[in-house]
Amino acid sequence: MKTGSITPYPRIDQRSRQMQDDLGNASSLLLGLDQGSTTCRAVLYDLEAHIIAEAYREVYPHHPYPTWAEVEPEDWWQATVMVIREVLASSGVDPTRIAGVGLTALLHAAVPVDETGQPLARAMLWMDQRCQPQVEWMIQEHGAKIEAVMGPGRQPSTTFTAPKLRWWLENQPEVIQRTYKFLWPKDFIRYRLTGAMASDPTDAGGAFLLHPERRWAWEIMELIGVSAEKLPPMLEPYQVAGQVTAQAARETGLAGGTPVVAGCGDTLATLIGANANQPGRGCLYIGTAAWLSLGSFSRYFAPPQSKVSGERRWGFGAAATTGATVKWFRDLVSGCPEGGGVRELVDYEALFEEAATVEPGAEGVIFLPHLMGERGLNNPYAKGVFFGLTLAHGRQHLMRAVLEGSAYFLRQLIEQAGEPLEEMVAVGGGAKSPLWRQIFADVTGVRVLTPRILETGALGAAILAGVGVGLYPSVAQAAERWVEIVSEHSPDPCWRERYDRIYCLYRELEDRVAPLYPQVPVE
Amino acid sequence: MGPYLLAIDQGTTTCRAVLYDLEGYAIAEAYREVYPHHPQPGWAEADPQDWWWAVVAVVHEVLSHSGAAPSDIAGIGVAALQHAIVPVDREGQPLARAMLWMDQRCAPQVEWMIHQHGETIRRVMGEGRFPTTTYSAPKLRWWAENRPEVIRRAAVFLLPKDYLRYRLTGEAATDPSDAGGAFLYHPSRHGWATELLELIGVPAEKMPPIRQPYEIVGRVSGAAAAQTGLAEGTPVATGCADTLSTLIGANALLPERGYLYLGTAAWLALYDYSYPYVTTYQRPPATIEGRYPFGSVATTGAALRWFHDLLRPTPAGPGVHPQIDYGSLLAQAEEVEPGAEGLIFLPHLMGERATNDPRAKGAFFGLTLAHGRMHLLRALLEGTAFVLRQLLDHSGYGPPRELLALGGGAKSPLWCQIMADVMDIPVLMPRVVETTSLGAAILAGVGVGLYPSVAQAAERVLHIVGRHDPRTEFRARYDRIYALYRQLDELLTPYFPRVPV
Repeated sequence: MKTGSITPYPRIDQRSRQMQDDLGNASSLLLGLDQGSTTCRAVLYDLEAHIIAEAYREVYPHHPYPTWAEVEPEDWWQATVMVIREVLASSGVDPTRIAGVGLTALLHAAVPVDETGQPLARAMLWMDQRCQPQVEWMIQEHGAKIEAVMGPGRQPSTTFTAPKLRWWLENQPEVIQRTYKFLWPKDFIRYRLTGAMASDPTDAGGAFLLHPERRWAWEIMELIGVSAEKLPPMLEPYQVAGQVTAQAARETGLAGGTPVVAGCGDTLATLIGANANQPGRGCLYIGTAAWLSLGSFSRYFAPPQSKVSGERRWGFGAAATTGATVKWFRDLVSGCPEGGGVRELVDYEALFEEAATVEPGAEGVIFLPHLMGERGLNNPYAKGVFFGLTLAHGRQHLMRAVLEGSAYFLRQLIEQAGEPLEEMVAVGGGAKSPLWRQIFADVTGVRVLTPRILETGALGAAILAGVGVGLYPSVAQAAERWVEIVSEHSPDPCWRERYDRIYCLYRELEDRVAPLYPQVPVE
Repeated sequence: MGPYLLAIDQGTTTCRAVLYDLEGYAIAEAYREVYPHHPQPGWAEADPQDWWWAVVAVVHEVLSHSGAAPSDIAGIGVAALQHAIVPVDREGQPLARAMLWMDQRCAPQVEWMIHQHGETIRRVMGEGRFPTTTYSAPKLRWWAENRPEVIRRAAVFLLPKDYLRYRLTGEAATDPSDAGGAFLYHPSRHGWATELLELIGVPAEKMPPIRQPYEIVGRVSGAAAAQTGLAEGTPVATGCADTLSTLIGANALLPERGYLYLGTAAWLALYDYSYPYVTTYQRPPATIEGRYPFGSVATTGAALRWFHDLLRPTPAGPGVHPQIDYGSLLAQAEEVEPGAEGLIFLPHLMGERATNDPRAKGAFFGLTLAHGRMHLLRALLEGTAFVLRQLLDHSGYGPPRELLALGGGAKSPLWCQIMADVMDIPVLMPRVVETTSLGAAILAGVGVGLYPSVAQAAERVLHIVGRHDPRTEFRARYDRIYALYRQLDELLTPYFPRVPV
């Protein structure tokens, strides 16, 4: 295999062929693994996309210095072992029924491994800011070159892997020296499952190493002074990358030889799991952070030389803190006993129920939801605001205002994108609330659909596995078959005029107070 | 044992009796809730009989709890809410329920007074003084127009504390502070504004004599003694309005000192040499000299209570609620640095009296994920200090040398420190923060000759137990945040009326 090209479809060994023969067998299962920034999840599906079992564990990052955030790759693997074992144990299924395994994980956090596959350092997470000087160096010294290679206007930020690699080179050159390959989180986990090293275009994109021709951007590697030989082969997300090894089988309880596909970054897996693949249909992910994707996921699989490259292909609005805002509000109103002790947290459900008793408009309370700057506005100084408070307002009004504030901001993102949008598939934990879905529909005027399964990352990974082992002819067709829309919230015309008016007020308020954002906190 | 002084304090919803020794220590106290009637939206009435029965109950309780002999009580002082005038007939029976200060029914009568008789009012009361629905005069006019028999059958009109003293002694009288709260006190003549009484159609002879607050105007009657358990013949002083009583109890006689009341609402009182009431209270040695302009802020403790209630599933409605532990609530805000890490609170949760903007709204600005409850609390306390600073800046008076904190908020060292830092004025904390009943006791003590003067009595009973000096290290920071607060307030003001309700 040669670095810098997409590997041809790998041979499938004898045992997998045997399984392929059983493909008509309805008892086949698919396993999706999803490693997020803090959560590791395994979900076992049957071919009707029913969840047979699921399990999750928390994996906490290390913060050795204020702006550093690192993960011990071994923790990812240990968490993966635990969730797989738990899924197998709680379902009681025969592991040989698992036709394929798919993976997805957080982007950006590369793991340098030596020839024996041992990690040489902790992985820097996307929010790790230590490589800021390297970013500046890249832009100042090589900005023009970078644009010539990657496309006009494309520059790295601390989020991407490339400047992180440069940080190692400058500060811990022995790490780079000893590195055999760089693996991204899902690749590292897949390596531990199969012994095969590979990556895919989505992680290459998240590394700032995906050339518009859809190959590794070895020019960027050259520029940062790290050999492109250290990049693993690039596979399509649905290609089988290897089979579960005997050792991994012993550790996890999976059957040796089970095919494992390359998988992809968590954004694409979510879009696949939401079947966001039609013109006019967006995907609204409401997790800790929220984002809206306006493009169909098939664009991720577009052949090289498509008109735009990299992330800019996807209309992508990121609102930094949506679920986090609700969690923040929950924590705010939850009692804290005197002198410490166990804290009784208010139920999310109770908060949503209370908010549902308040009329649209929250009786005049307006919330600007920028609790962690605002990625969507590209304004790191943006802050949150509660406006219009009176003694008559209780926490139910404030909660409703929080939910509506996110929706006003989403409407702003949609208007800025300027692409036609008829409906959006809402997924992620925040999509569980029918109230919030209705608010999103009413405020934006866009129909909100919800699939039966809201945790779409693992689902997308399982779909990729199904395609990889030949159960389905294409990702698009598999998603169409697997994703079942179970509810639909249409904008209620009753509230249209009112929400339009409040949205205008929201925008005006925002413009009005925005100049004050950078002025707080006052030192 | 004794001598003791008994104070009776009837507020809008609370009736309190406190028995003091001469050093101002409470020997016993008792209170009852008295809820107003709301027969129609905008109406709020109190039955004067309810006040009396509450007084009977609290006096009984104080006597039995203290174990003091009724004869040990040297004098009684009364303080009560203002404005809620009671029409009383020849037999001493109330002819109607009293309209409370917040009762809005007399708005047309206010209009009529201002529009038809603005010139007369200006001539009699002085430039810039106009009645509002709060005052008694338009309430009397409402009766004259809508229930003329009330005016006709009334033998005398009594303000709340006067009604209670009347029930105790059988003597009808009032004092300048309550006559002023009726909008019927002539500023230079120091008597009833007969021109206004004529205008609203109330015979001047139906108004009681105006006496000094510390004068003994009567003694407990045999009937009242039987009802209350007090000793017949116990002297009762005129007393005064509750706001004035609060200031008397707080030793509000020092010109360089301002008063900061932190209750449900907050107010700021400053000395004014030029006030025409000066001579009213003058009797060497002077008792209360000067006027205390009441700049008030609508929601202070109310904001704190509102924030406390945010932590409940549904907001607390009317009715009786367990006492809130403000101490432990406020303690959470102590962990946060001045400036609340960038959080600014506009405290206009019920319009804003300070800026005379009934449509003003509250706001939290600068929220981030790093802010927890303690930050919001600190911002809330700082926001109330900013609005008070604004009030002071715009009062037209120079800053007082020190501020005495009163009311429930004065128990919080944190809040007092914030006030001191934000206003750049030292804040003193008294031993007793609720000084209304103390003021009534002082008036009684002066009346019966146990104290030589109100000033000396107040000096003796009011002990300063804490002092918070402005901390220079936070001066610049608070100045900048205050400027931001003002800027934010100005930016948002045009949007207050636009909030859909």
